[in-house]
Amino acid sequence: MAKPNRVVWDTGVVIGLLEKVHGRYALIEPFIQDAEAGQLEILIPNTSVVELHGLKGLRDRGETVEQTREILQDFLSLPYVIRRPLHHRLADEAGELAFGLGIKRAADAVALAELPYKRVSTCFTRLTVQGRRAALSRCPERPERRR
Amino acid sequence: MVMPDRFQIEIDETGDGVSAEVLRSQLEQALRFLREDPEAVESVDWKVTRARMNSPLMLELERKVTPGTAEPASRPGEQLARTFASLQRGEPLGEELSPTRLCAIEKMASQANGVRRVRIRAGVGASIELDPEWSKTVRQIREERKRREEIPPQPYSTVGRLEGVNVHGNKSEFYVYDPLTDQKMRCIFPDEILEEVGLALRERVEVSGITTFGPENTPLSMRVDSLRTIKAKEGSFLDRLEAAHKRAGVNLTGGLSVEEAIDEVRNGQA
Repeated sequence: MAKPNRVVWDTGVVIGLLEKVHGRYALIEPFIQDAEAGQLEILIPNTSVVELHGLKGLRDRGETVEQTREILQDFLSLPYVIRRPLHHRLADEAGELAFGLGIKRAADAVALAELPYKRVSTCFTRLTVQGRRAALSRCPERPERRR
Repeated sequence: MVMPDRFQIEIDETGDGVSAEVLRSQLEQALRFLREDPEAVESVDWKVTRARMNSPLMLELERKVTPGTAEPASRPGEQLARTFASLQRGEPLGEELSPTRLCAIEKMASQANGVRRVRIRAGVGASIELDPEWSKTVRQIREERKRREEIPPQPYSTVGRLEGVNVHGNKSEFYVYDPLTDQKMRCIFPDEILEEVGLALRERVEVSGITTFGPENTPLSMRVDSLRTIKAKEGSFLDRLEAAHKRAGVNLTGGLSVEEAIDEVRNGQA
C-alpha cells in the first residue's frame, strides 16, 4: 500500500474543522475522510497547537468549553494527526521564509517551513503568499530546501 | 540565436600524451558538476564536440538538447568556468553551489600541479589555469559549511510506533520511526520506564528527550525523558465531532470569526 501523503494545517483550518465553519468545513471534511481511509496524514505545527489551546472560546468554563477541549484533544490524538515540534533547523528555515516571502506571522512561516519534508505537498493556511490571500489556500510553490 | 552552453578542458603534461587516469577523472568531475544542474532534464546530454588528442590534450563539451525541447535557462558549463574564475580572483563562492559541485571543483583543481597544467574555458571566455591551492580553499569552504549544517543535540519529540525493544547490553533501547523523515530513530531509555516501554510495544507513542540529528535534519538518536502512549478513540472522528455539535456544541473562537480569533490569540486583540 502506498504511503499516505501529507498536508500541513494551521490553526485556522483546525478551527474550520472543529467548529464546522460554514464555507470551510465542506472543503476540509474530505481530507479527514481520506485520512481515516489511511491515505493522508495531517501535520500540525506545535506553534498552532499553542494557538489552539489559547483561543478565546477555551478560556471560560462550562459544558461547551469542556466538550470543545475534549474534541480538540481527540483530534490531536488521532493516528493520522502528527504534531510537529519546532526544532533548531525548522526555526531557522521558518525565519528565512518569513524574511524571503515577507510573512509577518511566525506561525505561518513555521507551517510553510514544513513543506520541503518528505511527502508534504500541500499547506492549508490563511496566510498571504505572493500577494494572494484566501481563507484556505494551497501553497503555490514548494520552497527549496536550504542545502 | 542562443549560444550553446559549452566549455573546454585542456590538460598539458609538457610531454607526449597525457595521463589517461587524469583525463578520466577531469571528465568525471566536470560531468558531476554539470549533471547537478537543478534544471537538468532527461532531454539534456553533454557531448564531446571537439578534441585535440596530443599534449596539450583538449576536449570541448557542449550541451545538446533533444530537438523540439526548450533550452534550459541555466548554463552549468559557464557556471563551472565562472566558479573557477571566482577562485582565481579570490572571490567568495556562491552559497548556491551544492556539496557535490564543490567536491567536483576541489577534485578538478587538485589534479593541477607544477608539471601538469589544467585549463578550463567556457564559450569564448578567457582560459583559466587551475591552481592546486584552490582545492584547499574549496575544502575549507566544504568543511565550514558542514560545520554550519550540523545541529547540536537538542530537545525534540516525535510520534511513531514503538518497535524493536532491546534490553541486551549496557543501554536499553527501542526504535521509533520519525513520521516526517521515515527514518528509524534509536531511543535509549532508562530502566525506570522499562515496564512502560513493554506495555507500549507496537503502540503509537510520543517520545521526548535530547536528540542528536544527522544530515538533512534527520533525528538519529534520543535519550528518552518521557514516553506517552497515544490511544486513539475507536470509530470515526467525524461521527464524534457531529455528536459533540449535537450535544453542547464546539466553540473555539468564543463568538469571533476565525480570523478575529487567530488575531486575538496572536496579538492579544481581535
